[in-house]
Amino acid sequence: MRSAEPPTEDDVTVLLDGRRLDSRESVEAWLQEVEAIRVLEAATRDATH
Amino acid sequence: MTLPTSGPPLDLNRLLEVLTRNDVDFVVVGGSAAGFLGASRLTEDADCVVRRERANLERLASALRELHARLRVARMTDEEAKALPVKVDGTMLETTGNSTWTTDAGPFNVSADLKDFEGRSVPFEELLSRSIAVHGDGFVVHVASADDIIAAKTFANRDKDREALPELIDIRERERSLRTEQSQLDPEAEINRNRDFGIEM
Repeated sequence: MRSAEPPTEDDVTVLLDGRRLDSRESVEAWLQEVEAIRVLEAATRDATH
Repeated sequence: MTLPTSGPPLDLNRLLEVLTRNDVDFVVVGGSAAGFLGASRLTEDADCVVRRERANLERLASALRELHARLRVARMTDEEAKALPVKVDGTMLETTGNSTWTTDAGPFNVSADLKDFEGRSVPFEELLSRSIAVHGDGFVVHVASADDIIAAKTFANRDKDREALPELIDIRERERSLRTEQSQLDPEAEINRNRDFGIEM
């Protein structure tokens, strides 16, 4: 089980690595990383089928 | 707090109905859990801890999509947040610890765990083992124990947490003394009282 940061005063999303999504730029950077993970997951699925 | 001024207000029944219909494993925590336990303080958002298995996160993603969830981002309006190219799925949810959303059923916060008095992680399974099952309008949800809510609010120590604590402590003490009295007088009455409150034993 990975642990999350406690809730913060401004209630923004906090990633498991501690980064806070408190601006448009931080959200856009994170979305690009998530898309890269999706590509990797799809490639892994294809390789195992 | 940065709760959106332009998003819908909390509709807790609808939110919980959608989560349960999508078979999401979750425990209600925070102010809405305190409300289920009898606290009078109103909460503007719903907080849940979810089981972190991938299949459950996919079910949570389905529920969030049904509720047209969009991220809450500081200094962005709800309309601006809606325009972000966010694809809600299990992959995305796996990277988040605490995620904060505006939904058609109001503000909704999802956490990977809760903290105890000293900031240690209390995982979903442990919260669930101490939770009580509460019957809603056509659904049953698990609500965190008063002890767990008090510990998390003590550790978070925000203004709203400090303000909620005295009533929560009163509720816990009343519950304890009632349970002690009832179980000493009539163990069967204790079981019936919990049934009357919709609490599964």
